[in-house]
Amino acid sequence: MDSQLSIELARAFAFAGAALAFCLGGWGSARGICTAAQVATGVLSEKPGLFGRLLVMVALPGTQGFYGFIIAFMMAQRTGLIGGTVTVSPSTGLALALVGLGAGIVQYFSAVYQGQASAAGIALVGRREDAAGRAILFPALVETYAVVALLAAILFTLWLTNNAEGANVLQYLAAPAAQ
Amino acid sequence: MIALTPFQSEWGFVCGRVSALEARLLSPEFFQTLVSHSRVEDMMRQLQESPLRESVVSGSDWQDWSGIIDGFFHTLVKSIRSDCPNPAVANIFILRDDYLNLKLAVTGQTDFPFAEAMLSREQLRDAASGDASVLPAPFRETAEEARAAIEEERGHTLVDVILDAAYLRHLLALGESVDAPLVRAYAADRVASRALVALWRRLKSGIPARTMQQYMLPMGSLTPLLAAVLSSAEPANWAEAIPGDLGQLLRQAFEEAAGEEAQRFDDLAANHLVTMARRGQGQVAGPERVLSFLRTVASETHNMKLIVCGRLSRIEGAALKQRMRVAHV
Repeated sequence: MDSQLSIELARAFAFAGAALAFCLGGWGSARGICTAAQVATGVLSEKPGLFGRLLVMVALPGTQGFYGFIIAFMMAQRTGLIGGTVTVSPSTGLALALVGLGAGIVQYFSAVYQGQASAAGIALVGRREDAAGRAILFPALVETYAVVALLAAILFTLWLTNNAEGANVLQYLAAPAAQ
Repeated sequence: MIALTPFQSEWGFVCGRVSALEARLLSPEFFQTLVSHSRVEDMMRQLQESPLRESVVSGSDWQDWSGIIDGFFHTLVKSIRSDCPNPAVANIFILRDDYLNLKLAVTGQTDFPFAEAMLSREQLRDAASGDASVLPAPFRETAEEARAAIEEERGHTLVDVILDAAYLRHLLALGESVDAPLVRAYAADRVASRALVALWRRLKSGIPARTMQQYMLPMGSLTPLLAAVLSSAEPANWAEAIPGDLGQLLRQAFEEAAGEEAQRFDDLAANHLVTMARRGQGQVAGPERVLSFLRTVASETHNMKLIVCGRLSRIEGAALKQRMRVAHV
């Protein structure tokens, strides 16, 4: 394969992985927060004193956006996108794109569902203020799978960019010549 | 079991409000205590614990209280309606007042004591002066039909039948305009039960079944049911023609209340509707949650009016208890 094309492909795939991770995570978080905020503002229109308790529950789905950003930053850092020199092969770049897509999907849906779970919890707090402590636990459980996806994406990114043979684009390009 | 619609975030705000307002619903025990007071002063003292506390004024008679309680209900429903993406859910609960005002308008009266729901006072005044064109559909057609009946001197009872039928058709259409199976089923059962009670009472007052058939039908999806019911002028036979819960409630009314079957059926059907609407409490954001809340508030309003106005009119608590409706919290 042409060396310039290989570098461009690797860069494109790595960028795609990073972009998918933060776009899907951010999009899901925005939707989740919007969902929870709509119910929360309804409750606050009747009970303004609950602002402090509801703020945490509205903010809960926002973490996925940050997880997506962490994954994207790590991919960019580990593949050389930040330094300007891509250091992975096209196949590794493609693998990273798939990791970014998978992690992004989990971040997206977990944020949307967490927003709905938060909304249900907010509705419960609106009705029974003493249930605030327990109501926050259920949406927090949805977070577990966003964290699992974040850890998986970090580990896969580390393994894929661990300078194994063929992982580095320079090694990849040099390999046919050596043979 | 009727399925609830998926989470609809555009209903989130109003459902959040409803959640907070549900905390202020009165418990069944509140009404049991209220009805058991032997002295009116004790009843008024207990009302201080209700949302009506600001309206408690000594010396008010039962008519004042009826107006206060109705006014409270209408203000709440209209406030909820203003936050609903589809106002039809709230209009189901206040539409009746428009038709009561419309009845006054078509008979030429210009004083409208019932609350505004979808028709403004100006529109009603114009209709009273003979200009029904200012009314939105389907009020316009109803007003024209009722006015024609008056001009042809077909009798005021017939005007009542025309307006009853138009109200029920409109109510059914409101329910069907909401994309939620529970709301549609609620509206259908509400209309069916109201139509049965109306037919029952009209037939009892001597209006022929053929006349009722002429004005009550068609009634949307309920046309076959009502046509089957109207084929027999004897209400005792209606239960066989009515499938589901309403048929069962009709049989129960005949078993439990000899001589007052229509009233008993009305009460049983109202409780059935409360239980049906209660399923909407499982919805976080959707029209079903609003329906459930407003239905509960409507039952509370009925109980409050019944007890307060009844006690002020010196009716015994035991008699009032029989007419009280289920009010879930």
